[in-house]
Amino acid sequence: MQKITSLLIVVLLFSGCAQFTTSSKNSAATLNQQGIAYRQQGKFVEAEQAYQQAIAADARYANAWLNLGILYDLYRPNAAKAKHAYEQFQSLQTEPDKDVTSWISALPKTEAP
Amino acid sequence: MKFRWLMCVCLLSACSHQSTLKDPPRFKTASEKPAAPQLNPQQRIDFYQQALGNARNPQNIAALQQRLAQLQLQQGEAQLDENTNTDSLQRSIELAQAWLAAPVAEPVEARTEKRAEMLYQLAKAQDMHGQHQQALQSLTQLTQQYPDHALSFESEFRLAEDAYSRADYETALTHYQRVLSFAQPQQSLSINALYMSGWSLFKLQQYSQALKPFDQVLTTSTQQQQAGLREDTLRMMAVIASSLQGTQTLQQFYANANPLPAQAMDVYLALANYYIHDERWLDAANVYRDFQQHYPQAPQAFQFQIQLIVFLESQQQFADARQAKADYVNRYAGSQQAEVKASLSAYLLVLAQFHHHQAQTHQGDVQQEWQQAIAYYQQWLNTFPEDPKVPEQQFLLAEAYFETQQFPQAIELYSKLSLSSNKAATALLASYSQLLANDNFKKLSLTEQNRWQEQALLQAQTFRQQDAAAVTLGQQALTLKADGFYQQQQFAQADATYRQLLQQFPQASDSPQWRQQLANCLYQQSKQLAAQQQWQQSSDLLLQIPALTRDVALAKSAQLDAATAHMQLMQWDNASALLKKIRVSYPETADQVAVKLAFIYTQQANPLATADELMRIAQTKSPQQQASLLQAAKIYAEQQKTPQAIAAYQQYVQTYNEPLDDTIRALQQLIALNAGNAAQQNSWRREVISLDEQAKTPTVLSRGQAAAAALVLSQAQFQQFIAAPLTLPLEHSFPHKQQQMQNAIQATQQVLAYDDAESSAAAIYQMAEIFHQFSISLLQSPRPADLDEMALEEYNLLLEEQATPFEDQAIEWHQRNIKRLQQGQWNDAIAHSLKILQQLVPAKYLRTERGEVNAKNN
Repeated sequence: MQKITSLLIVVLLFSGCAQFTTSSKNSAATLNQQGIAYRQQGKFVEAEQAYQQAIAADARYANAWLNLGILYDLYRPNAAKAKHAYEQFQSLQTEPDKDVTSWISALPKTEAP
Repeated sequence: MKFRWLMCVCLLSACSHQSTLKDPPRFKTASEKPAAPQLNPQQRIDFYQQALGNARNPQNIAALQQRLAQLQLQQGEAQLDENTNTDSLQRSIELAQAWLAAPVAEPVEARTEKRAEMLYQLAKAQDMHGQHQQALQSLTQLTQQYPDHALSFESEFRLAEDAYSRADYETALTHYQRVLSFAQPQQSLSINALYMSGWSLFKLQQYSQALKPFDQVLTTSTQQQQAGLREDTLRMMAVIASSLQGTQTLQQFYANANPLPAQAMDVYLALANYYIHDERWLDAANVYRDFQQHYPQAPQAFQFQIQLIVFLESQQQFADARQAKADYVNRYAGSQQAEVKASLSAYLLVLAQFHHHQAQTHQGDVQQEWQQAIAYYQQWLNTFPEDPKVPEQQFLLAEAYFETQQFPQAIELYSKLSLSSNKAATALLASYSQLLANDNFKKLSLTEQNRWQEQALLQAQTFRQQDAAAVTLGQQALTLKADGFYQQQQFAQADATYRQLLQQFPQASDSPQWRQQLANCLYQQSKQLAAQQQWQQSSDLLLQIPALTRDVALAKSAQLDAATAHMQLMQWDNASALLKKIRVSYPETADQVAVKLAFIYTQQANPLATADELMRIAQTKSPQQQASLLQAAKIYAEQQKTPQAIAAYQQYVQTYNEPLDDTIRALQQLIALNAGNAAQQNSWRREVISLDEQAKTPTVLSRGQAAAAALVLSQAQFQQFIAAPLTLPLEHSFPHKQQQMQNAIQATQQVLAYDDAESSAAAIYQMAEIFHQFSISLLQSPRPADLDEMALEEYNLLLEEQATPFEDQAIEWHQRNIKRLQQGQWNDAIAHSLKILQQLVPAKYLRTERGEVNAKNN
C-alpha cells in the first residue's frame, strides 16, 4: 500500500497532471523512455525505478515490462525477476512474442520467485 | 773675714742650688728712731757721750747708754764697711752690756722691750766685731728670755742658719720649727724656714718627712714672687720621690689630700723632668701615666697626657705618641675644659690625617685605616661644629667616605661643600658617578635607586655649565634611569629617556648602545601593541628600529614583524614591498618571506606570484618546502602554465617518494600535462608502476594508477598487435602477428595482475579483443590467389576452424566482464564487451528495449 502511494506521488510529480486516467499511458511511455535513457547511461538503478514507475503508471504498458525484463536479464542480472517481467510482457500480447519466448528459455533456470 | 748674716743661707743653698734668700733680714737700727738731723754720726756720739758724763738719773743714764750703744753700733757698721777700726763696735758692745747689767726701775713691759732690742743690738755688734760665739749666746739669751718677742723670731732663724751651717741639722731643724711656730711669722722667713726645715730633714735623711715642708713651701709661695724657690723645692721633692718609690711615694704623700692640691701636678711633673734629666725614659713616661691613673678626676690630668705625648715625640717614639694621642682622645673626649678641648681638636685632626695618609699610601690595612680616619673626622666634626676648619675636615671625611665606597655619606658632605668649592662640586659629581656605578647600587630598592638617579640628574644639571664631570654624571644618571625603566619593562618611559639621552648627548660614545636600547624599547612596545591588535601603531614603531640598531637580528625581526602588522591590516602592497626589501637585506629570511608573500599573493588573487613564492619555499630547507612545491605545481597547472607545472611536478616526484599518494598524483599530473608526448607520458607511467612496486605499503591509489598506467602501456602493445598485418605468405607474417599477440597478452596480464576494478574491466575487454581480433584477422587474412573454388572453400573452412577457438576465448573473456554486472559494476569496458557479445552471441545478449522511440543497443 505504501509502495503504491509513493509510486502515485512520483507519477503525479512527473505527470504534473490532475487527470490520472487520461494521461497515465502517456506518463508510462515517458517514464519508460526515461528508463531506456538511464539504462543507456549505465544508470541501472534509475532505469529500474523509471520502468517500475511506468508500470505503476500503467501496468498494462507492455514496453515497460519488456524493458524491465531486459534490465534484469542483462544489466542487473536477476533471472527470476527477468522471467516475471518477460512473462508480464507476454501476457499483455495478443500472441506471445517469439523472441521473448526464446529469451525466457535462455534465462538461467531458477526457482519460481 | 767679716760675718754676714746671710752667709749661712748662701752656704746652705750652695750645697744644692744658688742662693734663694736674696733679701735676708737685717738687724733693725736706731735710725728708725728720730735723730738730730744736723750732726754727723761722730758728732752725735760725742754729744751723747757728753750727755752721759753729765747724767745722774739712772733712767737717763740707761736711756743715754742705750742710745749711745746704738750710735756706736752704727758707727761701727760704718767703720766696718770702710775697713777702719772697730772701736765703735767695741764701745757699742760695752755700752750694751753695761746697760743690760744696770738695774733699772722701769715698768716690766717697757723694760722687756728695751732689753730684747738691746740683746739683739749686742748680738749684732758682737757678731760684727767678730765675737761670733758671744753673738749666738746673746741671741740665745734673747730667745730664751723673750721667746715671744718679734726679734726672737728672727733670732731663731739666725740660730737655725748657724746650726745648719755647722751641719747641726737637728738643731737647725729645731730652730726652724720655732720660727714656723710663731703666730705671725714674717712671710719670707716662714717660707725660708719651711724650705730649710725640708732641707734639714733631707740632710737628716728623713726623706718622707721632708716632703711635707717642701710641699708647704709650694702651698705658701707664689709663682710670681718665689719662682726660683718653687723650682728648687719641686726639684727637691722630685729628688726625694725618685730616691724612694717614685710616683707611689707621691701618691702616698697626697693620699689624704682632697681635693688634690694644685701643686701636686707640679711635683709629678718635676719628678718626670727629673727622670728625663736622668735619662730614665720609662720612669718619666710612667709618671705621666701614673698621675692620670691616680687622679683621673684631677683637672690637670689631661696635661700629663699632653706631656707624655710631647715626651714621646721628643724621644721620637711616634707610634707610642700616636697611641698616647688616641688615648687622650678616648679619655678626654667629653671634656668641656677649653684647654682639654684645644688638644683634643689637635689630636683628633692629627690622628685622622695620619690614618687618612696611611690609607692613601696603602700602608697597613687600608680599609681599617680609612675607617679610623673616618671615625676621627666624625668625632672632630661632632665636637667642634663651629670650628672654621669644618669645611676642610668635611672634605677630607667625604674623601674617606668616597674611598670606602660610602657614597651616600660622601655625597651628603660634598653637597654641603659644593656651593662654595669647585673641588667639592667635582668630588660630588664623582661620588654620584661612583655610587651609580657601584655594584651595591643595584641591591638598593627601586625607589632608592630612582631617588639617587634623580638627585644625580639634578646635581648634573646644577653643575652642567661648570664641569665636564657634570655632563658625564648627567649622562650616567640618565642612562641608569633609562636602563631602570627598561628593566622594569616600562618601555614607553625608557623610550622617552633614551631619546632624551640621544638628544642631550649626541656625541657620546654610548650613543650606539642607547640607540640599541631605544630599538629594544620600540620592539617591546610594538609587541605590546600587537598583543592589543593595534597593528598600525605597532608597525610604525617597528619601522623605526632598523635605523637605530646595529643588531642585525633585531632589525630583521622588526621588519618582519612590521610586515606581519601590515598583513594584519591587509595592507598587502606595503607588506609585500617591505618583505621584498627584507629578502634582499637578509637572504636567510627567504623562507619566512616567501611564506608571507605567498599568503599575500593568495589574498591578492595573484596565483602565479603565489606559485613563484611557493617555489622559493621549495628551494629552502623549510618544513613546508614539499607542500609548497606541490601547491606551486598545482597552481601552475591550474593557471595552464604547463612548463612551470611540469617542472614543479617533475621536481616533486624526483625529490619525494612520500607520501606515496601525493607522488602518484603528481605523476598523474605529469602524465596529463604531457598530453601529446606519448613517450614522455609512458615514461611517467612506468614511473608510477615502479613506484608502486617499490612501495613497502602500496595504496589503493598507487595500485589503481599503476594498473591504469600498465593498461595504457598494454594498449600500445595491443595497437601494435592490431597493426601487425597478416599477409601472404602467412608463414612469414603469422609468427610476427602471433608474437605481437603474445606481447599484448603479456602486457594485458600485467594489468590484470593488479586486480584493479577499473583497469581490470578494460584489460579483460582488451584480452577478449586480442583473441577476437586475432580470429577476425585469421578469417580476413588474404587468400592465396592460386586456389580454385574447392580449395578456397576448404581453405576457408580451415581458417574458420583455426579462428573459432580464438573467438570462443574472446567470448569467454567478454563474459568475464559481463559477470561484473552481478556486482553492480558498469563501465565502458563492460559496455564494450556487452556490445561485442551482442554481435557474437546475439541469442543471449542482443536485447533491444522498446519504447515509443525504439532504443538502440548502446
